[in-house]
Amino acid sequence: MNKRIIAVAHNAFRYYLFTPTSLAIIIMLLLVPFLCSNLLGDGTAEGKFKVFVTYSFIISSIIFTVSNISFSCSSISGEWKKKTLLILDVKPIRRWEIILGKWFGMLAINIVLVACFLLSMTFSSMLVSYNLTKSFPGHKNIFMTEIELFPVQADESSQDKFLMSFLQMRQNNRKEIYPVLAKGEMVWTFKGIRKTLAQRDLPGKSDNLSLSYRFQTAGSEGQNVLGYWLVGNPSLPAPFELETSQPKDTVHRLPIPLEAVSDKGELNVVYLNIEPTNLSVLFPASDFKLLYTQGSYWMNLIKGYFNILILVTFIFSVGLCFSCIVSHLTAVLSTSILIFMSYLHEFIEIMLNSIFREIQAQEMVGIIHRLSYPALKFISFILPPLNEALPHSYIGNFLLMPFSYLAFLFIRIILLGVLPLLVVAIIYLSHRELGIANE
Amino acid sequence: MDELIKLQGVTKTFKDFWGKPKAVAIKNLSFSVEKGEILGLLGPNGSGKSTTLKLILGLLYPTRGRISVFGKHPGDNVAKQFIGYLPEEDYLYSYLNGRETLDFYGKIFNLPSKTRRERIDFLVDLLGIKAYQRRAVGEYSKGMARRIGLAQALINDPDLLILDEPTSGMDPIGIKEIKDIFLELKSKGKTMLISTHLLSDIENICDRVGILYQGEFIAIDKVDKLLLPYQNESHRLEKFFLDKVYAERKEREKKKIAAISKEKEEKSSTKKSDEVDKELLQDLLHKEQ
Ligand SMILES: Nc1ncnc2c1ncn2[C@@H]1O[C@H](COP(=O)(O)OP(=O)(O)OP(=O)(O)O)[C@@H](O)[C@H]1O
Ligand SMILES: [Mg+2]
Repeated sequence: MNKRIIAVAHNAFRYYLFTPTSLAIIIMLLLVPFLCSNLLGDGTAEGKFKVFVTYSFIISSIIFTVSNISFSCSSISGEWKKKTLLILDVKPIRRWEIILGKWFGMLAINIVLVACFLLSMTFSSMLVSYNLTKSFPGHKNIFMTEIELFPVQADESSQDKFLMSFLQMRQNNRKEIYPVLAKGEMVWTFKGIRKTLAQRDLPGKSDNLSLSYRFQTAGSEGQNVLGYWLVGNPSLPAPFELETSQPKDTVHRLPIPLEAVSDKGELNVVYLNIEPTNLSVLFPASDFKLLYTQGSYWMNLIKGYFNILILVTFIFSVGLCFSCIVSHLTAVLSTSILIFMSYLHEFIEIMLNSIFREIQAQEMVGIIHRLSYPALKFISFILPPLNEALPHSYIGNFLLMPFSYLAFLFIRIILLGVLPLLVVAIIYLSHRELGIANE
Repeated sequence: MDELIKLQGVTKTFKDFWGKPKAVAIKNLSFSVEKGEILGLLGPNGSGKSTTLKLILGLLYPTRGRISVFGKHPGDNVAKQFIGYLPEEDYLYSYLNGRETLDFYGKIFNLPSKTRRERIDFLVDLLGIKAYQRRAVGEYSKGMARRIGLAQALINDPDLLILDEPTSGMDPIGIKEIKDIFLELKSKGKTMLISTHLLSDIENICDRVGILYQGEFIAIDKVDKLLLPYQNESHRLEKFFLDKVYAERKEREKKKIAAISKEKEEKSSTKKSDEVDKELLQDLLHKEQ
């Protein structure tokens, strides 16, 4: 990087950092996590923690979005309006160097802002964890991130085929409930458990793989239901056997030995209903999942900041490009619309698909539809799904984003969204007459 | 002789967003500035002085004609290395202090930090801004800002200085100091292009002066030559300027009046023929009665 770009970046950084606005933003970012740490959630330790993380990230990402739109949209057009660009442009600096300098300056200020948020988030997380261990003893695993894995297959080997088919019909062919009739059994198959990862992350811990479930019966409240679990895989000579006697309607966790998982990451779980009072057991599918711990909260927090940085990079790059082309206010408007559409990416996808389905159904694929659909589809591809880039969904839901996905997102945002815009802006500004006013 | 700046038939028309012409600022302007020469641009407000300077700097693009600076296109990055520009107003970063401003532009010129420091110290002394060099530029008075602007233009020790009203807003002492600086720069063989309204200033600095009137030169020549008829008077350039501009204005007004009266005549003659027809008709009617 040459000296001129650094000089411009440094100048931009100074300008943004020492305005009252950015001081206010920094104070807000420092305060938000502490304010959110007072939220109660649903009364459980997990609930409180989730609410704290999710709200901190949502509120701060709104702050990041708004502040970056306002920063970036004034960056070039503001200098143009104040005519400081006139002096700069007659110096031996190329216009793309000015733009890149601004870009790096903006990146620097965002790193500072994100670092402020990181600091505040770290301290308030510690505060929350201290409070939680005091008020909810025994909840040490709050900071552990768990991956949820749902079964890919569920086979019942019930004797009563007629009753099973009746139950399935009532469910409208959707597996919302896994029914295990009295004296019946059910086999679930899980795939894609990353055994090595699970072992590496938590060496010497046996409780890092568990089956989480809840069941309903017609039995009375508080009555324990007897069940028999077989856990293993086809390559294992004999499955692990576990007997449970548990009440209905509470979430249970069945620890699963790591050896039960095959090398390919497969696991079979069988439930035998051996309740002597002949009760049928129903497992709601949404609560029937395998949980395994992966990474720590702190690791995910750092990944979350990286995500926020990608998000703001996208936003300020778009704003910067617009500010090269149009005036400040128009840039703010255009950027806001684009960012808003990016947030609505999912919605656009769904809408496009439904439109296409309708077109197909009506068999009226006219030339306009033929042409416009791919264009719309392309737009929705270029616009990055910002809701996926928001980190709270990874931390708040205790889901971990794989690095491959991150890389994909990064490439998509930078290459498809920003680079073409940046190139357009540079070409456009390079040919513009700077001496006239930029209205 | 080397021609540092050369304009050939340059016309600049300002257009609005839709490409419709708004104002013609420069009309078919041709002149050149030689190396080591100091050219003063004079002219009433809105005559196109700033526009000419901006065209030479590449901040505006000519509608027609050709411009070359150091034998290159205006706005060429190599040529910019040797140019210093002071705009008509001080477009500086208000949050930087005087020293930081100069340091920033020094960095843009890729000056090493030691050279930069020495150069800034020298300029701060030269322009008398040492006392307030640590204060934010936004707080400067007009004259203070003008000095910093001039220092900024001199940061790279330029061979070609393009100055738009350098003494505007300055006190008499400041003007005297600036004049001395110009004379020193002149002795160093720098080329300068100065637009100004203070005629007495540039009288003994400039080698040549050009007087712009509505985007055209009404006079451009060596100072001594232009002022030959005014040899015994005290404010020679001022008198010459006023005479020239008044004469030009009168001439144009005359032309305008002539054009308007011609139009009127044409109109009135048609009117007259109508009236004559009516009179004839009335006469005829009378006779019939
Ligand atoms: N950006 C612009 N858009 C439209 N017209 C402009 C623009 N800039 C200048 N003009 C017009 O061009 C003409 C010349 O302007 P210019 O600024 O060059 O005058 P000047 O000689 O520098 O005057 P002054 O002595 O007041 O500085 C004026 O009629 C002005 O209205
Ligand atoms: Mg002017």
